[in-house]
Amino acid sequence: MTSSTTVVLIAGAYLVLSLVVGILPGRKASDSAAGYVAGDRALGLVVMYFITGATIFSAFAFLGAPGWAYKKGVAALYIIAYGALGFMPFYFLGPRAAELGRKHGFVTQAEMVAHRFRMPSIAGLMAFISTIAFVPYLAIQMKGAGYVIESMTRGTVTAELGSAVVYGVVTLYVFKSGVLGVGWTNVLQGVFMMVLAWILGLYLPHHLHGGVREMFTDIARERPELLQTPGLTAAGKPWTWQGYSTAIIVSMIGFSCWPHLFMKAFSAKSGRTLRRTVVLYPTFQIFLVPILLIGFSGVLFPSEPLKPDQILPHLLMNLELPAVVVGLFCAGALAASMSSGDSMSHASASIVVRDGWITAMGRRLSPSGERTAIRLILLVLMAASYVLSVTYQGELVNLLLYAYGPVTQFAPAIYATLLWPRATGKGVMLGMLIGIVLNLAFVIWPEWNVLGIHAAIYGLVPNILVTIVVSLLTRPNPAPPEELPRTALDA
Amino acid sequence: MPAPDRPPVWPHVALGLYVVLAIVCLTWPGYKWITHSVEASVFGLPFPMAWVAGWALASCVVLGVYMKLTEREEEA
Repeated sequence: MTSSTTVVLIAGAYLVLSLVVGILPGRKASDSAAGYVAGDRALGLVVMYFITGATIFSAFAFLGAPGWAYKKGVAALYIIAYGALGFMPFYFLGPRAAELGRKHGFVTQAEMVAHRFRMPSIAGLMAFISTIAFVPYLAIQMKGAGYVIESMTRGTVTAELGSAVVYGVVTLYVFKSGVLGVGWTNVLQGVFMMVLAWILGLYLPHHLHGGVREMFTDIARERPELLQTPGLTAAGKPWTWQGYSTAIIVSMIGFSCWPHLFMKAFSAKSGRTLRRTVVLYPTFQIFLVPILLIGFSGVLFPSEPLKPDQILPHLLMNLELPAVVVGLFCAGALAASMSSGDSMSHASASIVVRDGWITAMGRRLSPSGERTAIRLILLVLMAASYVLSVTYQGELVNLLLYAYGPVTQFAPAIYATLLWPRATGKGVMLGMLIGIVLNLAFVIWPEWNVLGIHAAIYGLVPNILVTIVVSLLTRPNPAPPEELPRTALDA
Repeated sequence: MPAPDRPPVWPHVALGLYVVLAIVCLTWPGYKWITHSVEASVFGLPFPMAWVAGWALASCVVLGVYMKLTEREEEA
C-alpha cells in the first residue's frame, strides 16, 4: 500500500466517522427553527464546552498558529492571551441572552437586539455584515482543508476535490442535524485535535532538538529575536507594544460577540450550563501551547516552507514519518477546519433567514418552513464559499481583514442590549454604523493609523461614545420595564 | 424584624480587580516589565509562554471560585 493510499484511507475513515456522529443526533431534534438552530435549548455541558472551544479553533489551529510561532515567535502568544479573558463577558451576557431567548423565542443575537430596541433594521445590518464576514471565512476553511489533503497525498488528491469531499460531508450533517450535528461532531473533533496537538507538539521538538527545553535553548542561541516580547510582525520587524496590546484588548471585547459563538447561548440547557462552559473555556487555550511548540520546532529546520503557515505539513513531509502519522495529522487538520466551518455555515444560514428574511424584512414562515429555508440557504452559502475558494486569485485573508473588524463593532450593541436599560435603538444603530465605517476606513488606508494601534479601536471608541451620547439624547426605549435588561445591581 | 441578608459585594469587586490586573499583566506595561525582567524557564518553556498560559489557567480558577460564591445569587 502506498503512503498516499494510507493517508487517504485514514482521512476517509475520519470523514465517515464525522458523518455518522453528525447525522445521528438530528433524529432527536424537533422540526422547528428552535430545534434546528438552537437544539431545542437542551445542550449540556460536554457539548457546550466543545462546541464553543472547537468552533473557534479553525484551520488556523494546525496551519496559521504554528506559522505564527515559526515566523513571528512569541507574538503568537497573543492568541492565548486574549483567550484567557475573552470569553469572560459571556459569563454575564450568555445566561441573560438565554433567558430572553426562552421568553421570546430568539435563536440569534441580532433578533434579540432588534426586539429590544423595536428596530428590525438593526437585524438587517447585523445579518448583512455577518454574512459578508462568514463567506470568506468559510472559503478559507475550505482552502485549508484542500491544501492539507493535496500536500499530504503528494498531489494524488487535488485541493479542489479534497475540499469538495470534506465540505460535502459537512454540508450533509449540518443539513440533516443542524446545531446538534455541529455539537456532537465538535466533541469528536475537539478531542481528536487536542490529542493530536499534544502528540505532535511534544514529538517534533524531541525529534528535532532532543526536547522542549533544548529546542528553546537552540532558538535563544540562533534566533533570539523570536523569544523577545512582544514578538515580530509578518515582515519580521518587532511588533510595537501598542499594536500588540490593542490587538489583545480588541479581541477580548469582540470575542464573545461573534454571531456563531454568541448564538450558542440560545442552545444551552440552562444558565448554569453556560456559566460552567465559560469557567472551563480557558482550558481549551492550553491546547494552543503544543500547537505553538510545533511552529517553534521548525524554526531551525534546514529547509523552509513556501509560506509560514505551511510549516507543519512541510515538517511532516520532510521528516519521512510513517504514513499512519501523516494520515492522523491530515485527519486532525480536517477536524480543525470542519469544526469551524460547520458552525459558521450553520450560523450564517440561520442568520440570513431569521435576521434578514424574517426580522428585518418582516416575512413570516411556518416553523418547519423556517427549517427548510435555512437548509436551502445553507446549500447556497456552501456553494458560494466553495466557488470563492477555488476561483479567487488573491489572498482570502485580505478579504477576511475587511470583514473581521466590522463584526467586532457589534460588541457595544450586545452589551447595551443586555446590560444598559437606558440605551436606545437610535444610539446603538448610529454607534454601530460609525464604528463599521471608521474601522473599514482604517483597514483600507493603514497610513492613517499614526498611533500604530489595532484598526478596530478607531471604530470601537467612537462607536461606544456615540451609543452613549445619542442614547442619552433620544427618548428612552418604549418597551415595558419587565422586558428591559436587568443591571448587575438587580441580579 | 431583621433585614434580609444582602448578597456580598466583594466577589464582584474582586473579579473586577482580577480582570484589570490580568489585562495589565498580559499587555503593556505589566507584560513588558515582567518578561524583560525574568529570564527563567518554566517546564522547559520560555518565561513569556509560561506566564501567558499561567494566566489562562488562573482565569479558569478565579472564575470558578467566583461562580461558587455568586451562583445562588445569579439564579435568584
